[in-house]
Amino acid sequence: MIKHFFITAIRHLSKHKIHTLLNVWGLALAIACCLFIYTFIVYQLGFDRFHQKSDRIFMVVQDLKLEQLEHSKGGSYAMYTAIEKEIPQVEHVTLYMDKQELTLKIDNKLFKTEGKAAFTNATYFEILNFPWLRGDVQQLNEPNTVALTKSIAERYFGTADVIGKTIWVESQHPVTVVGIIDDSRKNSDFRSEIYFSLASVKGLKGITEDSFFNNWGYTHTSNNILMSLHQPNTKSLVEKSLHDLVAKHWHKDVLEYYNYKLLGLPEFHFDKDYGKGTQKSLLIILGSIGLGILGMACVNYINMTSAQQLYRSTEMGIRKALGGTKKQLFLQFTIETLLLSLIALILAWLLFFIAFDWANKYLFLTDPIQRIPLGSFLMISLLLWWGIALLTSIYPSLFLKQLHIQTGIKKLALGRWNFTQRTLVVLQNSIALLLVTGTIVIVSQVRYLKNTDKGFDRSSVLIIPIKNQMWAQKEKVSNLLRENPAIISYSFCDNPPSYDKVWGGTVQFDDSTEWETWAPRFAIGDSSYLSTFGIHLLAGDNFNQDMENPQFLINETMLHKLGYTQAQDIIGKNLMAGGLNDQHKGKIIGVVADFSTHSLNEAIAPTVLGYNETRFKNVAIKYAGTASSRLLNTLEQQWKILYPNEVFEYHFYDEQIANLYKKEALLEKLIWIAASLSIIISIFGFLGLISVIIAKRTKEIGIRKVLGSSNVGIFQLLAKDFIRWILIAFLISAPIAWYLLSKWLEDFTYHITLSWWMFVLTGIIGILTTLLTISFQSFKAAKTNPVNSLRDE
Amino acid sequence: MIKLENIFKWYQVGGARSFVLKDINLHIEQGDFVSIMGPSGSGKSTLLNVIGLLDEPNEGKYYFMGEDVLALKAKKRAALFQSHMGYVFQSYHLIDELTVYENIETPLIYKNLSSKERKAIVADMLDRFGIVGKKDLFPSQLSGGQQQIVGIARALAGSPKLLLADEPTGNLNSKQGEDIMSLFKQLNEDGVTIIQVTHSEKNAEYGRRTINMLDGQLKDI
Ligand SMILES: Nc1ncnc2c1ncn2[C@@H]1O[C@H](COP(=O)(O)OP(=O)(O)OP(=O)(O)O)[C@@H](O)[C@H]1O
Ligand SMILES: [Mg+2]
Repeated sequence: MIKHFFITAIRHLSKHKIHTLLNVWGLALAIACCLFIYTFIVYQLGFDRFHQKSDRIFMVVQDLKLEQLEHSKGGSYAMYTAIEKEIPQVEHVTLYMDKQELTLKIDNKLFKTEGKAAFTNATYFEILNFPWLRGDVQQLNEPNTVALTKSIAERYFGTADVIGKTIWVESQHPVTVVGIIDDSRKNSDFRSEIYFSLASVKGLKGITEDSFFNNWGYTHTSNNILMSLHQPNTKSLVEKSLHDLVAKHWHKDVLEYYNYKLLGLPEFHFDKDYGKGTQKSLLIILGSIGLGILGMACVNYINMTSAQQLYRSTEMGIRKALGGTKKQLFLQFTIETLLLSLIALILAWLLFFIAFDWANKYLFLTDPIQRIPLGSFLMISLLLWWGIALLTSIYPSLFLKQLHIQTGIKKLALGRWNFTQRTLVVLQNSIALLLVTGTIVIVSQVRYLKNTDKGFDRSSVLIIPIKNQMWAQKEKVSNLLRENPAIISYSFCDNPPSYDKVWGGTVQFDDSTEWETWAPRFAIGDSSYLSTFGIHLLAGDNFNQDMENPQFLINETMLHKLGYTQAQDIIGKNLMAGGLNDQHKGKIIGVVADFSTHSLNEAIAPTVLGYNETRFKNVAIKYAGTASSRLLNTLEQQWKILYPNEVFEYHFYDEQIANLYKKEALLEKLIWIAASLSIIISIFGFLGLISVIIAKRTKEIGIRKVLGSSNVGIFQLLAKDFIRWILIAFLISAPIAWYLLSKWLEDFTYHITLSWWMFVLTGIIGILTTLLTISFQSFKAAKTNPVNSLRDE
Repeated sequence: MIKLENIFKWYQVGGARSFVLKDINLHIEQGDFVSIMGPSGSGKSTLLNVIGLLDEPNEGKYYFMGEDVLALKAKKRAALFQSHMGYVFQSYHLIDELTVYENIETPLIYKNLSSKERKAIVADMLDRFGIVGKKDLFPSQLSGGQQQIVGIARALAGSPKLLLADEPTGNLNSKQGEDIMSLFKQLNEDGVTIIQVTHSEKNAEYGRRTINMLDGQLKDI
């Protein structure tokens, strides 16, 4: 019996080729999309959950108790050693100093570590599960040793068989490779490619002061203190012990300002305050989009099947008359559905693998996602397959329930397009239009974020990072920049405007000896900072470069925060800026217009501009117009002479700013893809429908033409319904889109406003695609000679 | 074999009942060959459908081989149909996507016969109706007469005791019609009870008796 059903199913599918093709491709696209989104979600949710001890691994984070809590992670070396010695609930603790920028020399080739290097010890590998493929973990406790991941070893040496080889750090310190690490698991926020032993940090980082090791205040956000506890429920006890240690070894006053906490490692990926801040809402949105698109494809299938009722009611009537029971007839439909969705599933796998590689290359770029294990991949595929089969069997089963043999055979069951089916089409297109509006709005917002300069000018600026060791040559650099005619202005600085890492600290204002309870941000540079970045001085003078007698500029927000309205009134007042210049009290010498120090995801904060050459990390170069490539060539050559052991590295400032919006840019691309997919699927749906409708109305069209209707008249007749559906769909989607998108925009400190043209554009796109979709078949139908269609009788 | 008592069938047409069958009483014995005649719209097809369990009367009793059919559950009724009746349609109603062989096989599949049994029966049918050479063709590749022969073969595949035929020759030319009729006669002689609806006096004569219908009522012969 099953075989018989299979034969019928295959014959049926191949008879209605167009429908089958549209259904198969529609479902395949939707399934591929779901598989992809599922993989993405699983990958994101799995961050740092694969460690055996993941439920009892924690990291140290802290809140600085100012007017607003200032959150940060990381700690000091001294804290790490104290925890190791004095808190018994801690099973293992390690210091993991990640994101290290070093220059390596391997076989006379120079490599930048690009933030992929870290300092840590063997304990790190006790806490986290990154298995060693070669070498003995304990050797990482020795000085001047390094362990590499398999991938980076292959990149550096061309082979993973490199135990015992030497890497030169900064061309001065030889270190020996002692281990190769399996890096097939990528979804961890606490993963590096190059692990130097913590015992070599002093030499390799050129740390001269002992305070790095002894001073509790010597904290840094990338000095992660990771620990595993014997019992996860001792977390608060350990937090308490941590406070006790701070009071005992550092100072009890510190606790007035700081609150120490443990953050579960797997929480880091989604934590907004201390961690990566991956939005769970993004995952939810993606999940809903995936299901929505799948729903759209199912609607297509249901609609086409129900439209085929035209051909099938007779067949089903006969089958019933031949003694087929409802169950047997239903089984026939189900087998057909299962077969079709299986073909779609197989196609979807193909699409998925293509899309996956493509996405990792062009979409996720530096954060490629990973495949889920084959087992769960097959599980979810199976689930999708059966889910689709179930969903799409609902209609046929209803249809069979209503079918009477007589009406079936007489083709009376045709009926007209009933309410449910129309609703489904409208619903389907509402989803598509919703995604179209979403795309328009999200693209506009991301453009806005990326391209808006608040209070500064990004154009024609290059940023060249300068490392500690390179400052010795600063004067020479300065000279050659000054002599280059293509360079308008240059500034040695820490943070250009709109930067991802911005310092801040509290201040003492005027004659007060009290620290303010809020902390302004610092923009640290030399006195060319204003001219290089085009920041407007509203009142007063530019600051000098004297660290003994510091001069500061403040922005307008800071002016107001300090209770002033007139810039003149504040000029000349004293300011002690903790963290910017800890030694000397300075003077406010001028006020600048507000400019953004961070990404536009944060409001402009009170800001102090000042000089502190120990903090400088970059030189920003404003060049004339279009001279960039020649300028870069020149600079690279000059750099090579000055720094033979360094790789010449530079960033275009506008690209660097755009990089601040990676998350938003990803969302932008994803919504693009989702909207395109949904449009393709609804086009498929319309293609299927128009073919059915034309088949149904061939005779009518013929008669109308004989009666004198024009081709355009016929086209209008056919297009009318579709346009009506699209308009209703638009009316449904517009308010929902308006609501959801204004909610989404509200989360941004700076955002565009929704405006009517975004919705009008959506409507136009909807109507144009509809007309284009149906036009070919409709015109063909309108143009056929009526004699042909009427002769059948 | 068949006993109809006071069968009424009506459609609700705008508040009023429009009667299609009015107080039908009919007795048909096993081995009979009955032709039903009457003007168009008189209710012949409806009566045949009621007998063939494809339609239900609104009132009355229907005994088939002593069983009160209308009191049976749908499943039982389907089983009864499968095991005792074969139906031949005026417009053949073969399934387009299936070959001649598969069309004949379909009712056997629904009866849950094993594939070996089905093979034997279908082969027998093909042989009996001389269409072995056509078994892999699709309905669209056959002439009307050939299609009707396949329709009959399909109806007989389940070896029914009762064959119902609604204008089986309606779409055929007279030569083809005669062939079908002599086939029916042969079947009847082999013991199959046949009820056919026909417009042709000549075809009616193949039967053992004729029932005339007018306005949903039986007329005495
Ligand atoms: N669904 C329906 N609603 C109302 N009346 C119906 C319906 N189906 C059939 N009828 C009526 O029932 C009557 C009998 O129909 P039936 O098909 O039995 O006639 P017939 O004798 O077989 O005619 P013909 O020789 O043309 O096939 C007709 O008058 C027809 O109009
Ligand atoms: Mg009739």
